[in-house]
Amino acid sequence: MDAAQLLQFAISGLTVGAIYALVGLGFNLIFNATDVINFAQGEFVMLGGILASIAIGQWHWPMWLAILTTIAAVGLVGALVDFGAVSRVRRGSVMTIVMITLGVSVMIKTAALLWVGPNPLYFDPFTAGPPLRIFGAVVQLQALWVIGTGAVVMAGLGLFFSRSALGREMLACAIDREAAYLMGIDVRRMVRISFVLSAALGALAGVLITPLTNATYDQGFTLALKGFAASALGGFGRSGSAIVGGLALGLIEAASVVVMPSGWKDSVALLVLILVLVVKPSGLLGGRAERRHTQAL
Amino acid sequence: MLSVRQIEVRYEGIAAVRGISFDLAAGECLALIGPNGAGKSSTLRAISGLARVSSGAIMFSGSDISGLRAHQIARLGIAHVPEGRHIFGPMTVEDNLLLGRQRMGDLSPSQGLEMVYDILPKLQERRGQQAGSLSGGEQQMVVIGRAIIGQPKLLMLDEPSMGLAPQIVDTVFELLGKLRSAGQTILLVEQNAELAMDFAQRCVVLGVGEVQLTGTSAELRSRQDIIDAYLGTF
Amino acid sequence: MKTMQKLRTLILAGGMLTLAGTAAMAEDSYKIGVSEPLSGAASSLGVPVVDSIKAAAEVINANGGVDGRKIQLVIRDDQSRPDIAVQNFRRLSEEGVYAMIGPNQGSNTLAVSAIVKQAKVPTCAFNNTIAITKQNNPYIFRCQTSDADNVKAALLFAHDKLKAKNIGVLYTSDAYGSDAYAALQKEAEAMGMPVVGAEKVNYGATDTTAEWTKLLATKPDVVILWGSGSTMSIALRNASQLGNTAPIIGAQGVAASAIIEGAGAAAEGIYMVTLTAPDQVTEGQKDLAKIYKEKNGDDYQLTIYDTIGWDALHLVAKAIENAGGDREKMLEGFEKISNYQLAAGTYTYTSDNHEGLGVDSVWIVQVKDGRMIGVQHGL
Repeated sequence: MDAAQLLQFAISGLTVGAIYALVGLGFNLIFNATDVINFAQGEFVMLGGILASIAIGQWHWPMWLAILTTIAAVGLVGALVDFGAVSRVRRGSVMTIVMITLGVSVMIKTAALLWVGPNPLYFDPFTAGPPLRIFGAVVQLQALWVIGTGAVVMAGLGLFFSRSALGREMLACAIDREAAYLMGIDVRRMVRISFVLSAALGALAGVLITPLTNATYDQGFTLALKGFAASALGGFGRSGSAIVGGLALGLIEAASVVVMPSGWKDSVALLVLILVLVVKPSGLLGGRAERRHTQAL
Repeated sequence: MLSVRQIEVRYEGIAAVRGISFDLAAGECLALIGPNGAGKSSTLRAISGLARVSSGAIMFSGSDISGLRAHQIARLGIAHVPEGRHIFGPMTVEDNLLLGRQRMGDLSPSQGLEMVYDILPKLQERRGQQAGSLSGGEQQMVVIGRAIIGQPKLLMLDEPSMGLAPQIVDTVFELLGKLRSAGQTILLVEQNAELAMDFAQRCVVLGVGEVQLTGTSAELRSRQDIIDAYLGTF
Repeated sequence: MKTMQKLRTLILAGGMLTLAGTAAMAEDSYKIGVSEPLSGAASSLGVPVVDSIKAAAEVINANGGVDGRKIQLVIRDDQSRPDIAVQNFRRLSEEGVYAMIGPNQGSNTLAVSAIVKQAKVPTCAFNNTIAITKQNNPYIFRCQTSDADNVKAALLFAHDKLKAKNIGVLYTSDAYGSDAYAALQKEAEAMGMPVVGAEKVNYGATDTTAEWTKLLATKPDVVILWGSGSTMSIALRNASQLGNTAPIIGAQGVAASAIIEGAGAAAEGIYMVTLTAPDQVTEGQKDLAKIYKEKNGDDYQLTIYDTIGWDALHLVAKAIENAGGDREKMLEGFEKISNYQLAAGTYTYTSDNHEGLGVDSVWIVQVKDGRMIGVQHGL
């Protein structure tokens, strides 16, 4: 194993990790406002990839228009999920809502299968051209898009939550829902906004990764699992945790291929997650320790 | 201004408040006192919409608010400082104050901040600090500041003295006294009956979810039977 | 448009189910059960297979049926799920079918094996999975090539034509990939062509660069790629991005147009072992090709799934003929089929060989300008 190969493992770990991180960010966004793990998050990513593939590959839309339309359309799906299902449960526990998101994810997946069928969809990378070579290791151009956009999105979300009034209000809902109500914040509206934002974010992730990973109707669950693992590994409820968790997960997976038989990749990553959660339940960065009153009002 | 009429609040079928009624005039300062479990906090939660009223009405400035959602009630000008403070710990002091934005009405955020810092200069010094890192007394000041930033018509405080050293309690009540003198309508829930009777013009004594007595502080002090039964000896 | 077509197929299939259930055809027809994935993950395979079974039934019945009796199909959707496949097989066997056709997924075939054995209904199964004929179950007949033969064909091609001294393998961790890998290891060893590197990826994996990096570090002369699904097109793209120059030989699961299209330029030049060369019409495919070109236009190229369904029903018809129309003698009827040339190849069954097709039916195809071109047929 020479240096170039080790570098290659690190790069492929970071690329995959950036994908997990993007999905994880969406998880965190909804968790921040609602305490709910939205298991339909992976379906938002899948829908983003499929819609963009169809708009670009079959309808031949210009890429920017296809991407913006996709993000808007999936954002609307997010609003519908909240409007049609989540907000209907007035006094449901968090677990009820989590189960609803699972049900919604199955529905979205089935609809996607009936619509586009089981074959993988795909469109060309944003930037054409051969991959970069750094000290003998290969970096796909699309991977740079994934990592770069991930960094921009994370910085943007950081600013949103710390600087904008809307972001602060969403954060307030997360920290203390009752106190947020007493501040005159319409908590339900914040939940709706968080669903739209995280669906749009999921769609963006789907658009970015499809040139690398293809888009198939059934990819949502695996992505959701990895995104969830990324968030949990970093620690739920902290901005930045999904990024740290995602990159760590990607690197662990890549490293596991070096030291173990390769089929173990997925199990190793989840095993590490379990170990981290057993040793430090709040995640690597430490999430919000205090559990809050979580009945929907 | 506020008229609570025969309200009932149930938690999972059990009535915590059973037909409580009282009135509060503009500029008045009223205290709800009584032992643990008497329904004081539940009454405040019902008024601010955090708890649902199963029967009765809550009239505020002439209309029934008992069916409204909590954030709508807050925007009408009812500020509720909840028991246990409920500060937004990870945020800065100033961010905590600014979250009152929805209730500020005509004030701009900077005007609101200016008003609060006038009354609570200490908070200006601490504006950039994480609210969760402050002392209990300072946190209580932040939540009160957060409540008054919208110049509420009605300020409700639930156990503002709880968990604070006697000296700090004095400071808090000094601040509340200032607000009272400025004409702020206040509804105070306080377990420390002595403190409450000193502070409020009138008191409502609650026991097991019902009103036992309503009267001025002086009237109440003459009723040893009520004091013995509901307020303990002091 | 595509969606509409799919919906129509589904509705038609649904209609067939009701038709089959209610309108009993003439008493003197031969009932044949079909259980295939018409919905779910494997529906892209099941739908064309059922279409070609129907095409075969039309031709056979138009020519007077078998010994003057018509073939009647009873078609059920297994939804790509083993539990539904088991239900279908149970109910169809209770309806007194002469033979069963299906399933399409190896794991589903293993799931129905017990019922097939119990009901004693000969079954034509469409799987490469080596294990399906190793169940000590005389009623399962393979209507495909076994991966034991596919692997042999791939290795012989690597050894004889590509002059490989050693090979590397990238395969999926499911039964499809790992069974083939087990067979491949032994076979390659026997040919004196050591396996210098072998990497496993999970079915559905979305990145294979780490595995390729490790594999290519062993400098294999030829890489064998065994798996199916979207991961295969990603694997082809990753290999090309990493600058792989070793020739790749892919499994039948790689030889699907969706995968070749998904891999784009990265698929250029790769070889695959499969059952049809889209650019060529063999002797046994002439009748079928004529029907499909009339239906779909002259440019239409047959796929594997068009051929195996057609073949399965012809095999069943032949077995009925051999059994003299006696349902009790269907097993012997199948085992008498010898050198029967059909669309996917030439079939022979005996009492100890239920593989049907052999290495001589395998095509090696290569991707040129995005299309699969036949390179070698048989050995």
